[in-house]
Amino acid sequence: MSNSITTFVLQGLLLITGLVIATDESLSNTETKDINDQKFRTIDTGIQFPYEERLNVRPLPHNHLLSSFEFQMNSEPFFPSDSSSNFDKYDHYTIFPKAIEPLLRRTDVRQLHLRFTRGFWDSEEWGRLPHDGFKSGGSGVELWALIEGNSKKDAYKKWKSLANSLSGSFCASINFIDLSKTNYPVFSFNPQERENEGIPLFNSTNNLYLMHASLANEPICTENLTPLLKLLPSKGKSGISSLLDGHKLFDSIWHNMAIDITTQCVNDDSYSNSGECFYEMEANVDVVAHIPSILARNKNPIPKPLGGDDLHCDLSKPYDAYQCFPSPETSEISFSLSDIFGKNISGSNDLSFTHSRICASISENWLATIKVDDGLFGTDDNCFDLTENRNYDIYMESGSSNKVARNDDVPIYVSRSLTGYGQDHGGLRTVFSNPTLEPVRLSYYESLPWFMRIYLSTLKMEVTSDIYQNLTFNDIVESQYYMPAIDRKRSTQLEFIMTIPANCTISLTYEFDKALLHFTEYPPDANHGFEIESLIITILESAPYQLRTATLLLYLSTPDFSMPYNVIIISSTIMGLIFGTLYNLITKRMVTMDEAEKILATRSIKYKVMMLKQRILSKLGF
Amino acid sequence: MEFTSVTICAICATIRLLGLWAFPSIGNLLDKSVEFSTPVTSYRSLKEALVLGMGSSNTITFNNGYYDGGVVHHPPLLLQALQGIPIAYHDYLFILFDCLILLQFVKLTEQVKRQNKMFINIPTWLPALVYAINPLSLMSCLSKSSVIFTNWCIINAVVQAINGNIPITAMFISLSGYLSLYPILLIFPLINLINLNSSNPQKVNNTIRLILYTIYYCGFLIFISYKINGNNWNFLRANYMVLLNFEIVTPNLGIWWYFFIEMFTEFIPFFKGTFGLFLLSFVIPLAIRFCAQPFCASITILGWLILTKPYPVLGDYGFWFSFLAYFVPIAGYMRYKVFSMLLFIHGIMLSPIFYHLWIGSGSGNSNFFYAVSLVNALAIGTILSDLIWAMLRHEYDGETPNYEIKLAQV
Repeated sequence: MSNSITTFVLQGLLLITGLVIATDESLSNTETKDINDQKFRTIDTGIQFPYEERLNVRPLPHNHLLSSFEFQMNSEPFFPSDSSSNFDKYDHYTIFPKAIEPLLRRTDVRQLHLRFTRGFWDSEEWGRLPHDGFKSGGSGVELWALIEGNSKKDAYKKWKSLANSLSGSFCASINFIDLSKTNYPVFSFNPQERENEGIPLFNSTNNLYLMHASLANEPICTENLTPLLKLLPSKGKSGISSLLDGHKLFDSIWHNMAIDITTQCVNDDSYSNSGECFYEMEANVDVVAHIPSILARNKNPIPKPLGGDDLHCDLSKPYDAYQCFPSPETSEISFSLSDIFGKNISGSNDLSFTHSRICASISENWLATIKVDDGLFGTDDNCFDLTENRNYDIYMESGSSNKVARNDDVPIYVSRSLTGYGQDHGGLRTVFSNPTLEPVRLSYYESLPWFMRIYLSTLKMEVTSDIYQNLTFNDIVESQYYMPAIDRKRSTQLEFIMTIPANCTISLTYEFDKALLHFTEYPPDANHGFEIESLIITILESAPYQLRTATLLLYLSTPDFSMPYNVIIISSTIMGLIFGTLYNLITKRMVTMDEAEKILATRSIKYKVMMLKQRILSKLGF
Repeated sequence: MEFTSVTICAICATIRLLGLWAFPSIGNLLDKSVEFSTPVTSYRSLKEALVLGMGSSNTITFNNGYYDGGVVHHPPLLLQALQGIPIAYHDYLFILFDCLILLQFVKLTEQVKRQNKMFINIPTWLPALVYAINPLSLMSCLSKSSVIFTNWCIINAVVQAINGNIPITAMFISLSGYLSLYPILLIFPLINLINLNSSNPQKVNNTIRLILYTIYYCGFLIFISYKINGNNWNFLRANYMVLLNFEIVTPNLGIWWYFFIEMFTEFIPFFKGTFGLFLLSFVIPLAIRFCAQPFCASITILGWLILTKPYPVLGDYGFWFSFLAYFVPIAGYMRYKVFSMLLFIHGIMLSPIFYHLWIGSGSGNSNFFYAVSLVNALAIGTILSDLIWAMLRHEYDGETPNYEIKLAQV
């Protein structure tokens, strides 16, 4: 097999060199701007790799725009039975990132999921999350992986190694994932599928371990986007990934980057160790931008008050030169993707079986056209294939932008909040609201840090609907898993499988104590509080869906950070004072004052000198 | 005025029931205050264990027993015993235990009066009445802090020691050690108490018997707990290592918490050792120095333990203050009665206020509450030194007090 790969690649290299020579001539009289980009492209007939990229743009109500970038690639096939020390073959990565594959092999990862998410997805206005929520994470960084290992300890070691490596590759604090942040989900993240889908075990004596951790306070920034772009074969230089730019992407209401890697084996009989396997990687970037504010910023990078002529006054109210009620947001809108992302799409990708594709999910009152160099073209299905190496742009306009292609409604709304006041006790309140006419069966996954000492004996359930007044917690919960936290070693893990009845709102509340930490355990800005990771809800039946609540900000009481020396000194003084007093009391002799004076007199230096003098004098015979 | 034990019990129960009736939520409130509850004695962690523990019908249960987590720190036998009593009756159970402690106080007074002429003038009802109307023990009872069971064991051990009943003394002192570890150190003054009126060969015999019985009972309790806990030793970590290691840093009235929050990580183990030694330091010296007054020595050692233990609560203080009634005959010797009492009241009054300023309103910081815990330590220290001074004076004067004579120590 390795031989065939080698010949395949050599052929490919020959082809590319041939083509470079050919294209150099043909390009000399056309545009010269993109010559460097085009040098290493195979145009029509070149070798193709298992790579695909797609962009889907979808206008959302109130002039928001969701852009979903999807990239898919497969690794070169490999045989699990080949050990890495087998020198007969050399590892060969075509389009699959070289940074990732050795890492997966070293840590025996069968599935890897990494999420970088920030912002607020307004599900009441915008409907379901892209990809039904399975490609988005909670605010911050979220990592979960399925790791093969011979024991839990072994798997954790690999997990730690994986986290440290990813931390380096993605410039994120993933290395802060430790024992106290790692959980082993039981009901969530579809562990049932693990058995059904037959995720391969490369060594049949091993087991698969699912581990999950999230870092809710991690800021997401361009330094996380650049490594993601570097994983793509186009490196963000051509195709739709050339749109992605940190400055614009993170200037949005909600953004999400996801990487999912799974191991696929061609031979079903994976346990026999003879099957051919490959890694499949999907990278997603989703971003929701508010179009008018981006257009305004493009026009006016430094915010300035608008001139009188530019004001849009509400004509139904009084207005003159001195007063103006701003009109509601305009529903007439036109923009191009280059306005939103600050760049044009430079060319297509020619590595893959299919061309880069851009689709606009729009209703009739929207118009989407592709701008190729200077010409505008439209299609029936509003999908555009990027076939040539030109500059592309998508132009969209609408006269009534609030009428958008309706997204399906979310099957359930879940929100969680902190209750109580003070920094020693608090409560958590989770509200489930099922707007549909069918009961929703879901799994509930909550992980809380150890410094929230929760008391589930205080768990209370409230039901708002009259019909379900007699509903108890036992009625809605099917199975539960509760792993209490251990200080500094383990976080609380709480999982339920529960059913929320149709058209019903249920709230669950329970109380917790806040622990005090050692002064070195507080982060640099201790009074900012601690972010508590999202609650993860997965709908199990009919239409699978996953959603996460907003993260919470938990305030802990803080000691005075300037006090260490003072406390050591003052406490020790008090202890010394008491100790000294008691020690004197129980070791000394009780005498009357007169006796004491006599005894003390014999102890004074004056007395001793006098005695010495007397003795010397008596020795001398005086 | 004379009070019989029945009257005092009635007073005790009435006050507590009135408290429950007038303020139904006071238990919860007190249970959440740092003065009356600590992670190792709080009722809410006890309740968590009872509701989610083995054999409960709750939907959510601990997957791996009580102690696989950081919430439950009560020993398995206590949990097992309370499991049998419905939670609705717990309020009454705690009141009942307060009454049992009272009865033991009455019994104790009768015995010490018989044993030692020094106490002859103390009214039999006085210590018990102090316990019954003392607001600290009253509120501790309402907060349902598990410290009440330890206190009951301690007073039983003292009563039985004066009786000279070695096996029962050993049983109660082991039980109190089993419940909250440190009271086991009271065995040293109790040895003297048992030996008070015995001849020398008998003394050795008694001492050996008491120690062996205690070891036997401790081993038995630990073994039974091991069996009850599903053949798992993890209750030892949850109950005793937490105390020895001061694993849960929460604000309380003791001297440990702020010291270890502010301590540099590298030195934490060293200073935990130091604080542990500090706690041990005066137990044996006091027992030896006052081997002729073992009952008073027990009281001072109890005070010393309250001063130095990692998680003190006001329930401990209330219990100890009732014992101070036995010092009434020699109160004349005390030098700073007013000062130490005012210091103590100052601490008690300011602690909820300063705690609220720090935690609740955020207008103060942790140093406020730290200052209160220092004042408390100082108050206990002053009271202790006064008690010891009074005992020394009593020792010097013998039976006839001489308040005129001025004494000094060299």
